[in-house]
Amino acid sequence: MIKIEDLSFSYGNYEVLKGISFKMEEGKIYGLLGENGVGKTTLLTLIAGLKAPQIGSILVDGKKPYDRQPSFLENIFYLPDVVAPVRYKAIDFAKDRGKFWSKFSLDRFNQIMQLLENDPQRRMDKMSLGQLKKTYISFALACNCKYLIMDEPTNGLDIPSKAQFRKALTKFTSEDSTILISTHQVRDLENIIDPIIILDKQDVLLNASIQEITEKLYFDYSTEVVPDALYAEMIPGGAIQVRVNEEGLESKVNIEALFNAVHLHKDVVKNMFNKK
Amino acid sequence: MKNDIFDFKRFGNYFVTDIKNAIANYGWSMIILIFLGLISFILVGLVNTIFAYNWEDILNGGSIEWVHANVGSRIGSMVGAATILIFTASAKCYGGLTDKNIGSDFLLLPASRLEKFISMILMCCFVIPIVFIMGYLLIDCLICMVCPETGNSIISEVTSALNLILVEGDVPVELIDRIKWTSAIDDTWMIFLFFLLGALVFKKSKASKTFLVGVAITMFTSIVLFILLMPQIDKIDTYYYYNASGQTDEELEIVALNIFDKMMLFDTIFDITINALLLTGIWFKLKTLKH
Repeated sequence: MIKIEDLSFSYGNYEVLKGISFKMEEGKIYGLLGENGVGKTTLLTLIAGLKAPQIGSILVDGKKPYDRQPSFLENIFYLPDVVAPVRYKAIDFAKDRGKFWSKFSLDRFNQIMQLLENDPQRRMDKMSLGQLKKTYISFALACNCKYLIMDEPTNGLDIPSKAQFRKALTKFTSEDSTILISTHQVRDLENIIDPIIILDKQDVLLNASIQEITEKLYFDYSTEVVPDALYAEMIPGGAIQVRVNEEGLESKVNIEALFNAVHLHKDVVKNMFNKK
Repeated sequence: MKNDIFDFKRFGNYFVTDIKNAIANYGWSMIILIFLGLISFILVGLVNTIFAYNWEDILNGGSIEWVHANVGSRIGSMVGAATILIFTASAKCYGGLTDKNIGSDFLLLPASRLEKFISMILMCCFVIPIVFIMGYLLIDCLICMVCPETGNSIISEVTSALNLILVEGDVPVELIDRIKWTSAIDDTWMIFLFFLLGALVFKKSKASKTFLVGVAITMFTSIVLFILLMPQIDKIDTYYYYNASGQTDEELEIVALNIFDKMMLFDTIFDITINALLLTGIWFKLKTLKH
């Protein structure tokens, strides 16, 4: 379990995270959403152990990430937005680095590379951005870590690769893995991420499962615009509206609409989801 | 239960990875530096031939003779190559750690800080200098085998010189016994460690910034050492050369050797302290590296 308590972090005088607290449970694929500059990448790097919390604490299975103990690092893989084009063939990189993660499987790496239509014999510094990203995604999934943290994993991927990435993510992660994906490309991962965390400037606006969200919010795809909707947007062939689900209706979450609704009615949504 | 401080198998794996990274980042540069002996041998020979040639002779039908680079110029080339090595090796092999992508990859690789630290020190203080020295001297020996006219190899020339000074020369046995020969190794480590620390501290222009800081520190320490050691040097002058107190030669020698012992002790303490400070700095930098 990842437990974050009263976490604060600043870059000089610019306070990015302030008093953030939440928990992440095992076996779930968390989607971390937020506007630019709210501290999504900072939060991910703090969880991975690349930065030290200034105030508050982060515990991953009771361990402090910033200690960077091998037993912690072996259970986590952080895939940054921009990856390094190292001077290795992909297969050699995987063989060499894979030794450090006890659950790493080279067969699995090759399978995922094949699924993503990537050549393992190609040198990584000669790859395109998308191919390089796919190599790192393959490696990250082949490490079979308990915690997988990804920052904008679909950036740079072409349209077929995005579908292949979704397939690989569901096929090659174990049931007890906790995956945290930060993304702006919500449509790429719409049917995969659950729960959803929405980060705001110095605050967590929402941390709820899809079921909890649909219990409390109704996503209305009808053509009739309702005046008390938290958010309404005209789309070709009708509208998408987010309303308070007073009647207990079932609906399919539209993450973009949810994100906009949460941002327009921060306090309403926070109060709604904090009442448990 | 895994050992989070040091595990031999994990260290072995990490050291192999570190060597592979060094080959990927610095392999070609190292090969060029090793072959710099051959390159400079050809260039110096060419320059020698051009300038040594008597143009009147060739106009009168004289033949051209290649004038080989002598051992002095080959030693000079080696010193130059070694200087380039010191300036560039640490920055090329470990300078990437200040880069967000490469540094993150390094920090999150599941090996302990101690394992990463030891591997880094072994690379900079042993592997890189030894590979360079062995490679360079091997090429030099091959040059001397192929072109005997160039004279002795560097290694045989240095051995002969030491032999001349220490065995056949007039350096007193008492003094030879007191010379701390490991000092040269300590000093080499000191320079490599200093440039390694610079590679971890500075984000850009690592070698030049480290060099400038080094010059500043050297100037400062030279002044301090001069002030501290001047009374001892004066003592040697007074006792040994001017014999101010009218002592016998044996008494003077004891005084001089005592002063020499003190200076050697100071040198040992100085080397150990500086190397310890540099190692601590590198360790602390690794501990606090953030991305």
